[in-house]
Amino acid sequence: MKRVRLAAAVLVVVGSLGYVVAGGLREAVVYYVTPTELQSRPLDPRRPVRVGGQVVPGSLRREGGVLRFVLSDGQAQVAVRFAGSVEGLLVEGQGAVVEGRLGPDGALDARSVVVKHSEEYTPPRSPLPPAERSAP
Amino acid sequence: MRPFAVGATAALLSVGLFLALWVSPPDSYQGEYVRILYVHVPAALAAYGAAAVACGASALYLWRRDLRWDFVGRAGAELAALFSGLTLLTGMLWGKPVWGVWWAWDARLVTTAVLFLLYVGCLLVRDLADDPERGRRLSAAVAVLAFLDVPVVHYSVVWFRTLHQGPSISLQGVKLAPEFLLPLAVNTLAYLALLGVLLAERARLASLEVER
Repeated sequence: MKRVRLAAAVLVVVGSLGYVVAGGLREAVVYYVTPTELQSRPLDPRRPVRVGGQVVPGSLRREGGVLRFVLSDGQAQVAVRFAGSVEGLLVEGQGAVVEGRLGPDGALDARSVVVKHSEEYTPPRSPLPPAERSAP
Repeated sequence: MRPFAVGATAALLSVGLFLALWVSPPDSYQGEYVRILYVHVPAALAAYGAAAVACGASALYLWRRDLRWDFVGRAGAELAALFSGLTLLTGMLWGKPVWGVWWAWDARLVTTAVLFLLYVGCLLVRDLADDPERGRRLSAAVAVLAFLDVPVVHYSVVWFRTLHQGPSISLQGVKLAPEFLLPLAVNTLAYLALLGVLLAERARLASLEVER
């Protein structure tokens, strides 16, 4: 009985390890592509793509329930449309990783928007920049 | 020595908590969520430390077959599981409000989850064998190999492109304002002291169990 329980426990651990490694290897090494990489490679528009970059200051706005902003890596830019609500702290000038499909006009129709936090930590000195935040 | 070590650790943890909750300012972007950093990073570093102790003591046990090294190796493996679990938990609690998701399949998160599972597995295989000595050796072998994941976890944010931010403190400079640096340093010291006390107490408990 003890051995059966142990074998079950080992199975759970090995199974979770396998799941994590398999799930991780698929996406982990390169979690997102940059706007430059997105434009330099021909892309199947039916396949979802994950793009990361900085939210261009001044580009973040909400029009009729659709959130729009521009992602940049300093060289190339990609416009993003998102009809959902962002749960993270999406702020202009900070990073974001957007998953979605490229529309016919070259803009990214986002399925999810995840905020990428920078490694810089500063105490507030000036008023906070406007954050696009909505309750889940 | 023991009352002093326990007392000093308790004092360090209290000062660390005070600095984290009252002295540290909020961050300009993430606000109050920055306070999770003071548990997350010290817990991760304590997990590295516990993994190193488990690796060293387990290697010595495999070489010398002295039960005292097994007690230390076991304590290290248990604490590596505990602190890596705490790292994952605090990371998720921070990720939900700041990133917007509890979890992402990026290299830092995946390798940390692997680290946690490796030490859970290390503790499980100990009781798997019918012969306790075989269980101890199996567990020690896993503890030695599991340590290989520690540098991978640490450099994952440098080697791979991740959602997790890169190191705020590295040879390239410190990207953390001094207001955050002191609470982080004190809490890191406190967690490493806690690791030391727990290692000693757990190893002592294991030796008492054998004597009985």
